[in-house]
Amino acid sequence: MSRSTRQDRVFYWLGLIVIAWAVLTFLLVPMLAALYAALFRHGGLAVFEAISELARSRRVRAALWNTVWMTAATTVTVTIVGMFQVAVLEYFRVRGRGFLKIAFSTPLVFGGVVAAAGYNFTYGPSGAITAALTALFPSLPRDWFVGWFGVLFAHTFLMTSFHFLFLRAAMRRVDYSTIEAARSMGASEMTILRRVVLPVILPTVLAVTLLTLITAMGSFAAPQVLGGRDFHMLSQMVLTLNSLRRPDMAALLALLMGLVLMGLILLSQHFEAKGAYTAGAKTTTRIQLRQIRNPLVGIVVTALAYLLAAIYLVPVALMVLFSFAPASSIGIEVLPSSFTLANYARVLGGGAAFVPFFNSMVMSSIAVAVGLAITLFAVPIMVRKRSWLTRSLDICFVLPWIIPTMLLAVGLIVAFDAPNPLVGNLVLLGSYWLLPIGYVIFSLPLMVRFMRSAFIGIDPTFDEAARAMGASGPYRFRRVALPLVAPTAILVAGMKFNNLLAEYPLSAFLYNVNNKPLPIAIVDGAVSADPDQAAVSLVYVTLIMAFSLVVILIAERLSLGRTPESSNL
Amino acid sequence: MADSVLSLNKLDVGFPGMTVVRGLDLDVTDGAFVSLLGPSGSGKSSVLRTIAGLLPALGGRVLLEGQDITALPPERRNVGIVFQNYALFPTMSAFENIAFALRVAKKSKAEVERRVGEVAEMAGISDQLDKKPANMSGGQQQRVAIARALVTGSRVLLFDEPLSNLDAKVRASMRKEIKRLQSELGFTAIFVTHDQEDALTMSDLIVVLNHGKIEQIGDGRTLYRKPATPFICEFIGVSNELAPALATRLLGTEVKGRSFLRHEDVVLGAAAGIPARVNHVEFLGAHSRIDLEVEGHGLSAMLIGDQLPEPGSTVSLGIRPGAAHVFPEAKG
Ligand SMILES: Nc1ncnc2c1ncn2[C@@H]1O[C@H](COP(=O)(O)OP(=O)(O)OP(=O)(O)O)[C@@H](O)[C@H]1O
Ligand SMILES: [Mg+2]
Repeated sequence: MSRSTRQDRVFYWLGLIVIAWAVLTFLLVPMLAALYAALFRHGGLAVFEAISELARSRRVRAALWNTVWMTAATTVTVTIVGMFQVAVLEYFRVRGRGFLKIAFSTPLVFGGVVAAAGYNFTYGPSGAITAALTALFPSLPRDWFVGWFGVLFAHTFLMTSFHFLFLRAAMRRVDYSTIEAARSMGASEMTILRRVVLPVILPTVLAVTLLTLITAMGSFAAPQVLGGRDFHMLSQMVLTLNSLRRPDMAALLALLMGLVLMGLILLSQHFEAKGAYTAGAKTTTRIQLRQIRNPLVGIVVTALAYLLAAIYLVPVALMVLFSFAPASSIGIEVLPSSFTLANYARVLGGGAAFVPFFNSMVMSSIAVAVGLAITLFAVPIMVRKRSWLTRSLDICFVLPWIIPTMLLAVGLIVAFDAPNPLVGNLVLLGSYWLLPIGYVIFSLPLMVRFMRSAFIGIDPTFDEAARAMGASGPYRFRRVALPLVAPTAILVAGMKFNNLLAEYPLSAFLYNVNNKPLPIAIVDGAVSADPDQAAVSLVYVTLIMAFSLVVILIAERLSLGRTPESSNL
Repeated sequence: MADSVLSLNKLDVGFPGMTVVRGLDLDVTDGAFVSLLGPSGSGKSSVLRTIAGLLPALGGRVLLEGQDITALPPERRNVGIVFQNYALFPTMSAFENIAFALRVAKKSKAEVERRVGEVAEMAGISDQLDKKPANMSGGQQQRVAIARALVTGSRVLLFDEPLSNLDAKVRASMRKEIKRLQSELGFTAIFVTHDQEDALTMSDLIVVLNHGKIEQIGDGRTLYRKPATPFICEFIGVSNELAPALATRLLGTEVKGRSFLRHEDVVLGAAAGIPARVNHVEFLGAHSRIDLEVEGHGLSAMLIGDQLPEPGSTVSLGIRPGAAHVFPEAKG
């Protein structure tokens, strides 16, 4: 064996060992720690005890009830709005379809903390709409929006991205010749919709409904920002229990939520698979937009579509506008009367407002770089060699997608709140590093998924040609494979970086004074009464949205699809 | 053997649990052009990949210039390959594609430029070097792929159906081009094809593979005129298989087993022929095909020129002396 191949082997095994250690330490051990904390007490199984203790808490019961009915209500309202969007974009002929499409796509860029903060700046106590409404109705309390209504309103309009992405695609797969056939046999519009169109899109409708349900159940940023003092949901309860130094209760609650979510995810994948089957069966004539016959109905539908577009666009527009307005005009003016770059100067100028921005930039960059390094090293091996080791790595990498983020967060906390031999007896809790580590774990599923398909897509004869020309394994990787997957790597890095800038659940659990990140600062700014802080948050949010937009445009250029993970509230 | 540059010695080719070609013996003399010809799935590519080391040999040995290379990984064998889809790296310019092996060998910048320049000149793509493969025509890509395989001066070049993606005109000119390069540079070529025209026009030696073994080795003329097996007879050229009774009548001696007669060896209007009915005449340009019926058996003939019999008429049928191929053992 020559020296260079020996070096390659050493590098290869060293890499695998490091990755195995990282997966064990930061994924498997925390998961087990969370399970142990949730299920055991004083060395014995104590689930029922723990559950009854949870059930005795009035706040937990209230949060459970809130979560249940909010999830149910959200599923109904989102389905109505989402179906309406799909009907307007893909079934009926409505004027200005291009414009409506852009408006309805805003939840892809405008989600999570960013959107919650955005709605608060629009309708909340210091919002422009509130300023307009109180000018008209002086008796209206400034916090009219805060509470269950605000949360439901935000959910209703922000969780339609699944419909926008998946249901629209399903609608485009409806074979138009079947509609024409039904019409030629004398079927009415309603019969066609019910008997011809619905059966084709039904699996997707069910899958999308379940995805909505999952998202609504785990909703965190929205009630945190818009729920006010009295309306709490279960995610917030997990955070509260954790901050009350009851990580065992937090873990148990997160686990119970996780079990329900996992069941729903499995169910939705079942429906998704069925949807794919229907789609693969036949694709012939693309569906053609239907003219609405009744002119009155046509006018009403068009008016509703534009009202909906306004609901989507107004908060975004107001946020961008007010990010350029003097802080003193926030909550006073409906539209800013003067413009300034002062807010941007404060954020980018290096003062206190710069710190969360800087922290998030640094931590997200580190997480993306480390995640990409792990992915680029491990995925080619997983693609090429199938063994028990690569198979288990594969499963571990997608685990964080199935396991609720909060459970992972609580697990990291209980695993590292005391000296841990796996990390040289350091206490990571309270240090700078636990949050970026969490970010890496959280980034892996998406990165692995995209990079896997990129590596699988490489024509194997490239590698063979390079071998025949004498190139060693690492050389072939660097000169041949890497340039081919580079576009995907850049894109996935951008998408993840963008996700992490606004990542709320992990951040809320794992941040501390050393590394307060952007999403936490945005929530702080959104709920604070200080207009200066609000102005700074507006700048944060505008910058994140701008970045998302750039990433999405690049994605369109590279014609890669978006994934459900890129929009979670 | 002293002058054989490449020898295959009882080579077993295939995949774990599935031997595709068994006990292959072949000696290739230096500078020869050898074609591996066979129907799809006969294992031609697998043999080629085993020579290159991309597929581990299941048994036997591969010798390159007298050295046993059976256990060497492909990156240490120094044989050039031209793939069917060319496998040009899409992220690199033509220049970088050709320079790849030189860069791997850490040649100096000046040497890389000189050698890429030389080989590009020879392949006629000097003006294409800055282009990416996606912006080149099929024929140009082909030339880059050949230049890339030639640049290190490998004595043995392997071609896996390199012409199959080209249209007929470009294909014919690439055949000439490859032969020209070979006679200028003197490399040894192993050329995989399922196209008999490729094999017949280019090769010094043709190895016909079928069902995992060699059917016959020989130059094109030998294969055509002295086919060793019924398979060769049917695979190369177009033949009629003669029913034993008809063969006995036409040849004038007792015939057992299988016998074949090429279309162009059927003679119409023979002096002492057998009457045959003309069923159908198909005009194909340079020649025509005549479908005949003789004593209840179908038979086709090839005629050159415009003097064609009328369908429905009767002609006198004979055969060119010594042209029938008889396989008494009736194997295959
Ligand atoms: N990776 C593989 N694993 C198992 N069997 C394979 C593999 N690749 C090819 N084979 C089988 O080996 C046999 C020979 O394949 P090979 O590609 O060498 O044939 P070929 O003569 O080159 O055919 P073609 O003209 O279609 O290229 C075929 O039966 C094929 O099914
Ligand atoms: Mg082949």
